Amino acid sequence: MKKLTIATALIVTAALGALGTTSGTASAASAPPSTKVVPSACGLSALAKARTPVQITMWHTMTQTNNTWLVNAVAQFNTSQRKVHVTLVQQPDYPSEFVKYKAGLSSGDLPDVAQFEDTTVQQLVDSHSTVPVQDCIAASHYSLSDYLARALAFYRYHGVQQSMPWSVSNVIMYYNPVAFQKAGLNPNSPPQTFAQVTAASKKIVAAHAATHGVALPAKPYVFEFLLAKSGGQYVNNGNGRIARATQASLTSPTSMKVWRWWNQMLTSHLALATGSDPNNIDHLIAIATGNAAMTFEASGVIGPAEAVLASGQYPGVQIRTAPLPALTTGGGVPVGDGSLWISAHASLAKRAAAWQLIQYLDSPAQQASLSAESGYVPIRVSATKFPVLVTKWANDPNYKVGYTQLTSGTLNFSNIGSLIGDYQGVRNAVADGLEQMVANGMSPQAAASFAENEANTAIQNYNGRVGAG
Amino acid sequence: MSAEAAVVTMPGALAPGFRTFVLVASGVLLAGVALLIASRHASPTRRRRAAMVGRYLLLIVLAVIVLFPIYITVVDSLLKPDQVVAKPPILFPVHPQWSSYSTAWTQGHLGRYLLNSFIVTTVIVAGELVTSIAAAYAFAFLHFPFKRTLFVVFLATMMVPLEVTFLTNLNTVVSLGWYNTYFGLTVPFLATGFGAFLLRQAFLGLPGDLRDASKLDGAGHWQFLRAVALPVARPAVAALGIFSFFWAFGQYLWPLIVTKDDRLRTVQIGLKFLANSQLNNFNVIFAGTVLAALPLFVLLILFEKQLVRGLTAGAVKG
Repeated sequence: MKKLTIATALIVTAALGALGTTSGTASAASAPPSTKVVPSACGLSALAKARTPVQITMWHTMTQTNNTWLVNAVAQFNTSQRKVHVTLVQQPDYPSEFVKYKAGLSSGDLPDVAQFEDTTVQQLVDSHSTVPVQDCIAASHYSLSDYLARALAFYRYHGVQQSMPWSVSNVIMYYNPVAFQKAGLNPNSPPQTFAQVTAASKKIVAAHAATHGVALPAKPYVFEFLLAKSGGQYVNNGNGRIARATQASLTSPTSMKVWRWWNQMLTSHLALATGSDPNNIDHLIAIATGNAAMTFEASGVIGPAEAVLASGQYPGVQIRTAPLPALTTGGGVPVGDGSLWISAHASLAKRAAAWQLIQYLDSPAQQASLSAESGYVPIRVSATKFPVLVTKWANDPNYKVGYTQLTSGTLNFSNIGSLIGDYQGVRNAVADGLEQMVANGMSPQAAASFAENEANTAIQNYNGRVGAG
Repeated sequence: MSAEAAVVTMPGALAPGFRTFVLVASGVLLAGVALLIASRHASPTRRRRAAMVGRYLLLIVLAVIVLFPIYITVVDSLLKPDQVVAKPPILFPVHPQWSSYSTAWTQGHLGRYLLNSFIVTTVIVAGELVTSIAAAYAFAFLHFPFKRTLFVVFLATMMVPLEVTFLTNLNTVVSLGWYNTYFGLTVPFLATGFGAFLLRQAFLGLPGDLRDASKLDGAGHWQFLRAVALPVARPAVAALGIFSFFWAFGQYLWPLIVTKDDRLRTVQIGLKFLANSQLNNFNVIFAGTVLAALPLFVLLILFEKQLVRGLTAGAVKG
């Protein structure tokens, strides 16, 4: 009798709990994603008819000087016209913001326009909770000719532009030219291939110019960029672009070459292993403290990195940036980081208001200003001709590298950027695989299989949840 | 700077110091264990003394292991940013930089965040104590139909993780119009199955004769609860209060989801903002962490006895 009551109580509670988790998202996600363009959904006429300023809320994750920049830019936008008034709401970081957004689909607390991370594209498409910006592009006959093709491509889903690129960056190489000089290397021609990084590292270590040649952070996005530039795909079906990805491609021949090089660098003590947490900056500190002479990180870190060195804490260390090395030369990289999304929850007038804000933030002038301030890559060709950016790049060429890298190489499925539902699940798998190899001495082949299995499970679970499995 | 990162970086950066520490620590541990074992075969007086020395050696090592991260957090908060990452690590701040605390306080707006945390935590702790005492009293001393089944349902709620009830709670809070209010932040946590369970066990420890005796003396439920049951169960009540405080103070996800903007956000969210806005000023981040943890330390020191007594009392009686 007693056992029975316990069991019944458990089942009842579990059933109640299960109802709670699924009710919010299942209904929306099971329908097939629409790729139709509906210009009227952008609400331009509703905004035109509005008598009083349309109030919209924008969620973002900008911090420090970038936040100051955004607050000023939006204040300027608010005073420059009388149709739209924007209120900014800062969120702690991308993951917290996205969790809050998904909860908001239930609670109704949603932004009208939001800056989301690149990894969220597939989930946002599946959620049907946003208005594809293609609707607005069509409605306002907005020209995309001035945009970098690669910046647009990432946020496009089966030919339909879902969001507008905005705060875009990519992973580049950071190195200390002083250490290069000490090791007899030419600081003006940094290594471009993995083989060259290995050779340079040997010289650096031999000359005691730094303890290690390169610091390799076990961050999945660094692995992703090295793989993409080397011509390898992250997941199948053209990185999820031809059809929904069903499997990770972490043990492909190209992928294996990246794993093996990574392992070789560590076992031969030419590389320093640092942590996988996105906020971890041990690899950058390694350059400052002479523990390594090179490392890889997003271009957005140039500003803070230079500020730290300028404060005089680390005399004798300089920092320079270069395109990312890869298996061979000539490859390209996808964009990473933020794009702007319009919420379907917003009224027609608010959608059009959001579209006006997006056009303003994406304008060449604002892009030039943001880029000069932050190290984000300008997504407009004409932005590079604005004096503020011309001067910035002339004074500090470090800032130009992300742009140069993003505009080189041909666009293909390897470097267009992956569409994955449970992107974070795949990243966790890669981080786990790298950790197995780095910390537990697993062979590259075994570590890659380990990561691939975990990633496949994440992908298939997600696909099953949205009824695409 | 996560623990994980520290481990991965270990081979290169911290290796020599860390190895020495591990060697010394395991040496002392071994000595302690050896003393404990050897003491079994010695004369009574020597045995007692050896056992005591052995026990203290063990405790010292364990205490150092537990306290070191807290110590180094305080030390790092008083160093300059570049000293935080210096090699070998600096273990004592010769020229403490107190300014990091004022920077964390003002730039991180910790005052407002802490105030919110205090309001939310106080309400949750008070509410949970009141509902738990009432429920536990009913389950321990009253007779009513389906008592057993109801209690099992109470217990069953302990098996359901917060993540499962998350969206349901959110929907409830929103439909009540409590989104972005102190109600939304506190009400879902005013009653817990755990609290009722813990206190019921403590109340059941009371001899039944006591209840009968006070009944004969004409004491009602309220009087009996105040004069007899609560004083006896005080360690358990204190333990519940402290657990509840720690939990409520450390919340991150719920306050983030259920608030709209900065006005009602709590200190854990504030710390996240501080960490993201001071990427390279580790000392300021550490100072903020210390400030946010201070209330917990104070509470721990004030109520340490009750906490331990509450834990052991529950453990013995089961």
